[in-house]
Amino acid sequence: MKKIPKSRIKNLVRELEKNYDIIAPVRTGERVFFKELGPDDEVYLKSNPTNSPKEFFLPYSEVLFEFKKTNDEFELKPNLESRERILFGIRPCDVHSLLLLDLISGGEFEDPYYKEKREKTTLVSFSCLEPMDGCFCTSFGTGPSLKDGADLLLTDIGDYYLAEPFTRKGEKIIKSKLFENATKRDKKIKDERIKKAEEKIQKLDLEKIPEKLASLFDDKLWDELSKRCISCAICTYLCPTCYCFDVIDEGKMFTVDGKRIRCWDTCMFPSFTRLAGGENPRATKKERLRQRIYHKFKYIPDRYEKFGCVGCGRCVRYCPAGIDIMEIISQIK
Amino acid sequence: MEKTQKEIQKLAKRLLKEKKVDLVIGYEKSESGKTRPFFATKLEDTDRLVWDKSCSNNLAVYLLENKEKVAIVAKGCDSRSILELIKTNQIKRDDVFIIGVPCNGMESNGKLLENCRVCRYRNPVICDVLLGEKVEEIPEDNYEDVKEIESLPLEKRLGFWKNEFQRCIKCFACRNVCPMCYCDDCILEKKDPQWVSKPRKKEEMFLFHLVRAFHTAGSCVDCGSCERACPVGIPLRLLYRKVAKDVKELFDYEAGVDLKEKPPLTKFDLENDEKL
Amino acid sequence: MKFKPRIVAFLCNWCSYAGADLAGISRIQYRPNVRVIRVMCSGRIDPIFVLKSLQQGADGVLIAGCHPGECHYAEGNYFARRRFTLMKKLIEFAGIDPRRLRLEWVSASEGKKFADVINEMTEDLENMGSINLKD
Repeated sequence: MKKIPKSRIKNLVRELEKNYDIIAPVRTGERVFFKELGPDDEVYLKSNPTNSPKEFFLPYSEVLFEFKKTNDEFELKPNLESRERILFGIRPCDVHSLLLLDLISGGEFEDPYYKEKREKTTLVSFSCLEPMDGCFCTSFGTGPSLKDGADLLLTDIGDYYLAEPFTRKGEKIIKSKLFENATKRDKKIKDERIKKAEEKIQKLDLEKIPEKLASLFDDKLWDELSKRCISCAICTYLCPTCYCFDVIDEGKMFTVDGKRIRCWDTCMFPSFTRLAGGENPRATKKERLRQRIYHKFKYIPDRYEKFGCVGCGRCVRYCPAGIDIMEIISQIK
Repeated sequence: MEKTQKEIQKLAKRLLKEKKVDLVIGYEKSESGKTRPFFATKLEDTDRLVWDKSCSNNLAVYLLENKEKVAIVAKGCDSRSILELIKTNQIKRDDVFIIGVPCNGMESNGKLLENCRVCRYRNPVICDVLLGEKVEEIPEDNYEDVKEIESLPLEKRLGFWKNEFQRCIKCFACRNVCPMCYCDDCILEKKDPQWVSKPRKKEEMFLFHLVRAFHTAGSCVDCGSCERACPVGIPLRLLYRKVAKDVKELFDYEAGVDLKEKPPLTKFDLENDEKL
Repeated sequence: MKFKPRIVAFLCNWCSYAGADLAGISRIQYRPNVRVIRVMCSGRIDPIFVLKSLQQGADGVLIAGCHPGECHYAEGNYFARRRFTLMKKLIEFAGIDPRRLRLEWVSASEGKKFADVINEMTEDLENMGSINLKD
């Protein structure tokens, strides 16, 4: 267990930049985004960024492979070249989202693109002491701090950040001379602060929600709840656990030469379930909103024994129509 | 505003009771204190209707999908949207009961919203009932924000917009929250022909936003919903206000003001257009 | 290598396409940097065509139609005039040089005018360079 003075965080980032690409929260105007650190960017740790870290593992659009026809044969060139990088400043809720995506991308049919990026990323997480509007991590056990899941956990204990490594990658980072030894007292301060943070976050009882939902499929509450939805993609695109995608082939005209691209898609667009022939099983907002809730609170728990939501609060904060997923859950209860 | 809130609730109750409308669209406060659109269909629902300085959503967008007889709470900007929707035959005047409420501007975090600061139509331009005292209108809008961008050199302008557009995630919130974007088959989503592909290509973002901006010509009432909805903070109002400024200068037309005036790009004026 | 601008020209079937054809028949020499797309009327041109052309690599877009008052469909060019005056201002606001979008009236007998417009536009574009909408 070590600690690092707050004033040295900048130096730590500079040091890590020598060997890794750094992805960290950066402030742009009034908003904060995760982005690859450029030479003039400064790390901003005071709020959870608008975008979620999933875009660095499941990018908005990525080339799966390139194809080219030479004579009568097809040449496929897969695209699996990422660089070593550090995700610096990821919060516990987002760390848990990656743990869930690990389950979903793993299994019998592994996603090699996700896996490769995940293996090349070191997670330096920061405990969350100031919950934001809409945060519900305690209901899912995904915050405000971590017991494992990241490589290194930093917690604000006053003038220092307490540094707890969970993996070899984390231990490697704290070998830096910028870190000092921590004491039992430092750990105690951390525990106290985490407890205080927990109390600030509203906790909902999620017991038996999947079972409850099983009986509510045809309930008319979905009509009422979905009325204000405008069917944009904000909730799904900002959500750290939403992973639905579309696959598109793009090529040049008249030659067989192009790429296969995977890009984000959203169940909230009417066209998501539009079938050839024009049929659409989720033609109205009611069906789409219901699907989203069911996916996160029933289908994923049924399959993976974890909720599909980590309580990061982004969908609540940024929904233009004021739809609150946790309000819906408490109504269901 | 407390008084107006009670009047809105009373009126909504009466309209639903007398079956003059099947639905009242207004605002409510969620449990966490967020103001958001609300759809009252039963008498007891009307007690949830609120009216205060956080009622910034443009509710006219919900008129497009509710084909029943509807009453709607409308501020100045909302009423202009409704007028445009009637003008473009998207809704029938008789199907909507407009509860007009004069507005001195909406706030967010205690600060007056940008579009409210320059709003010149604080009193509804069309309504069935006006609740509350008429407020004073402010004089001309100088379009200072637009002029600031216009004064930058060309290269800088391109750089500015590239920087803004690169954050766009094509969530379509700006389009979906806009009452004037009612096309069933939006050109930005069409597959055949496909103008904007699904992967987010940097050069296509110009296409996306400039096409959308052009399509707001003669329709945008500057309610600000698009910019507020945008999760990544793109200054959309700058683009749409530029178009509105040019439409005013070139064609002497303002959206949502005169029900009888045809939209500017659906007509021409030979004498006026000579100078174009 | 010298920069070779590429102009996409939307020409209306009745006047400007015929005018361009006349330039060819009359053996008037003009810069070859233009790709012609024939449409029935300048009023058919949607602003998205202009933007798509620029995005796909065109350096300039020319829209040519019948003179006002002479449109084969009576009014098409009046709408085009309104549309593209507005469009020019919008692209200028976005940082794209407005000289890249040109609206011209070329009648079926104005072969020389068509050639002149292409020559002029090509020269302008050579001075402007290519647009970079990517980075």
